Amino acid sequence: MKILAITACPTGIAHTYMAAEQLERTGKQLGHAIKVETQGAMGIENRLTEADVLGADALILASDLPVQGRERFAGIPRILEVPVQLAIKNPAEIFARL
Amino acid sequence: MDYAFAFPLAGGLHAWPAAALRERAMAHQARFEFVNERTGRRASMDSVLGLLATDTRLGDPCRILMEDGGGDEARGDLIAFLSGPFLRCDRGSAPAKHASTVVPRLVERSGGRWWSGNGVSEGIGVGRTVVADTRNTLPEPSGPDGESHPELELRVLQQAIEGLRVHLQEEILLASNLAQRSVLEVHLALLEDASWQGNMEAAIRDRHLAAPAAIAAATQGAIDALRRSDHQVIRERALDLRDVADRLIRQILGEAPEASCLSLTEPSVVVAELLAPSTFLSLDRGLLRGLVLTEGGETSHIAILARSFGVPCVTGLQLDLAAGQRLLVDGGRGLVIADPAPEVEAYYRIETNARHQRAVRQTPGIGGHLTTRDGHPVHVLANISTPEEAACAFGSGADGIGLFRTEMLFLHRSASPSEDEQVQTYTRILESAAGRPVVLRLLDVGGDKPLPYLPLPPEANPFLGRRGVRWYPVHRDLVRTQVRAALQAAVHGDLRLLVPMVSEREELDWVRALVRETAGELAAEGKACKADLPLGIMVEVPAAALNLEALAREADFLSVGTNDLVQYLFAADRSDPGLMKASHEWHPATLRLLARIAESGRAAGKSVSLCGEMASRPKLLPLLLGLGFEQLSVAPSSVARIRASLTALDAEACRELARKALHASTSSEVESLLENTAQASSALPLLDPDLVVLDAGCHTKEEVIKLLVERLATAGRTRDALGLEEAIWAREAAYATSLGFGFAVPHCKSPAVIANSIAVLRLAAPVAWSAETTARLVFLLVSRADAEEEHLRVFARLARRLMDPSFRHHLLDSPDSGNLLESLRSELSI
Repeated sequence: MKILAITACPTGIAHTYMAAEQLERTGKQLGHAIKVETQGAMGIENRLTEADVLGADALILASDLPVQGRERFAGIPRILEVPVQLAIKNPAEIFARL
Repeated sequence: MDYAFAFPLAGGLHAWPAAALRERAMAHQARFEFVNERTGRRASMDSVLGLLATDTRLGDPCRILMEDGGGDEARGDLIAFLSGPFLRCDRGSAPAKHASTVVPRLVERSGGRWWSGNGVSEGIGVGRTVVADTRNTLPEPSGPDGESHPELELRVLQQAIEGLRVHLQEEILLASNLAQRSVLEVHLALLEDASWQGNMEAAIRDRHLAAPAAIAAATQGAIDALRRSDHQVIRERALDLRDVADRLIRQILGEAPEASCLSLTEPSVVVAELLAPSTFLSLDRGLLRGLVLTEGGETSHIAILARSFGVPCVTGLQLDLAAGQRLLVDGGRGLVIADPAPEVEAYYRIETNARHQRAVRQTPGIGGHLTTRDGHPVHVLANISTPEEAACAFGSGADGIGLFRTEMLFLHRSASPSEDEQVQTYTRILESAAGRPVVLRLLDVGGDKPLPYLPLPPEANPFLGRRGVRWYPVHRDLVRTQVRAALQAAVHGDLRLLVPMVSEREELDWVRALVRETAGELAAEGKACKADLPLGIMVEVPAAALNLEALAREADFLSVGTNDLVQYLFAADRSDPGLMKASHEWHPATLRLLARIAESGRAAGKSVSLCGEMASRPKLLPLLLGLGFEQLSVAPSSVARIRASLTALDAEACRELARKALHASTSSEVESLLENTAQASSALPLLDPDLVVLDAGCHTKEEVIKLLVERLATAGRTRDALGLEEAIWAREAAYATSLGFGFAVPHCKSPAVIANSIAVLRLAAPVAWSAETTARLVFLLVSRADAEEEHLRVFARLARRLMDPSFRHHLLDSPDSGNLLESLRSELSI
């Protein structure tokens, strides 16, 4: 599957990046094509582009606050919202839910 | 005279300003009346109590009426006073306040009892409860004495007042700090209050009361009036009044002071409804660990005294505690904890140990020679007024006394101090200096500091009037006695004389001739003395600064008084908050004048020191050092801090900074130069061996976070440890920051952070971090509100790397902190 994800947490200096790392690692292990955008203290990094959205199967929003630019993903069939902590502690469960 | 004004002090007309106003009014023959148009109350200005009872607040429309016979001089003097020195009467520093959520949670979990009151003096103390019954010390006014002898009772009263006056004057002279002295001065002014004394005498004469009963009756009336005030500060003075009345009654009855009933035998926390200042002062402070009071706000004298002696104090609590119960007082957070549990004490122990460690660090190399980081010698001296302050200064590592203001000896008394008394005082200071230099400034009084026994005509503008050396020829005897005392005391050490307010060479010549003549007299009388004392000038008048080449040839040393120098340079009264700007101190005009002074001193081969507020501002130190001032004289309480700041400076970099600052055209340009320098020096690395703690024996999450925060504070990476701790807990409240592999990453972004940091703590045994998780390895990440992206990127990299199991195992198994730090550095590419 082609999977996109966004991670964000209140302070934006730790959990955002831990969650991104876990989703990337687990996604690759499960054989998915995955790209994760982080919305942290340094702003948006590894931004999801129109080209990324094209043909994406699912979007994971691992965030404790509203993500920025959500309108970019109107065309994606499956959007899953989870707490950022779940992405850190049990990323496999998130992929199982897709 | 009828002078109308809006009351200018934020704290209202409380005891200190009232005492100052009364003292000023009493210097004149005329009688003054103070009228508050808002409250409609009026008072004769010879009565502090009357003035307090006018219930005057900031902005109240007020008038001062002068009854006949005063003349223009008295009027001018009082107006000058009201618009100048009076504005500085509003002393009293408010302590920092911190709400705490951490401690109550910890205490509640351990099942203890705690109370939250007003923390009015910070610090932490543990001791056994001593309950003091201090409520009803004033005897009930009894009825008329059957066989009264009013004349006898009046004499008894007068003797008691005189006796207590002598006691208070002695206590003022022996006061160990400014707060204690100020409180005692208010007590003295209350004792001398004309209306209160009048009421006592009336009670004896008209109601035939015995003296103690008359005191009680007059006091009760005055207390009732004070308590009606809706101003907290004024209500609080009722306690001082009762304190004075109580001492007066005891003076008559010949009883020991009440304090003897409250002798401490072990480390104690005194719990009372209220505590009289004199009782506090008589407690054994070696055993006093804290105070818990029902009454007493931040501005109460008891709070001011507690702060000045570093005794933790919480007020606003009425606790029913048994004597002997263990109490912990946390004055910073305003908490009192009964029978604190071991984990609560462990938590506080971390804080007290860290504070102690920091205090030790702040006094680098006492006794050794102080140098900057690049080995340039510097000296920190102290500005003092009393022998007690000298002892305190040397205890903090002062290299000498740069300015001994002798005025304190001459104020608040009806006659000038005798030669012998002065010899004794100067000798005490020289003895505590043990060979280090002591610079004694000859008497610097004038129109702004009147002495009751020294008639100086009031001046319209005292700061431009006859101050310092300018009136020495008029009051030659007073100066001569001081010089005689100084020359005799000088055999006990390295004493030097400093002449204030010099603007012309003739003034210095006059003093030098006086010293020579006096030394000859003493030699003829066969008295031991030192004739050749170095004679220096205080550089505080711009004319002197600009003609310093000539003056420096005649003087043996120079001392720059920046407070007055800046005031005269800008023609701006420094007591007027509307005119005075702190930025005048680093204005290019000031800097150029200072550079010139330093250069003149160097050219003449004379030592130049700098005393004045400027020297106590850490941010200005690089500038002063760069301009060539290597001897700074500061308040005793600042000595340790300034020593620590100087050792961290680089003299060469400071010279470069000063060169740039001299070319600036505004204060704000200089300010941004200073800020850039400060930022460069605060560029501490993210990781530091001091921020790694291995195999710590903490038992709770609170202890872990506390320990890490205190490490940051000790390393100078936070300006507000309690604020930072609360910010971390606020983040934990969203959800616990444990990762679930025995790792936790508490973090926050906060203005309390000075330098972005990573602190690491590995525990001997895991502690619970949330309901389901524990932590053995804890990373604390703290970032400034304006953190650089470079550091945030390291935080992000660390967060990502922690998701790698092999990296985690490596950290858990690192044999020592060096190894752990090394792997962190290489993984994070720092």
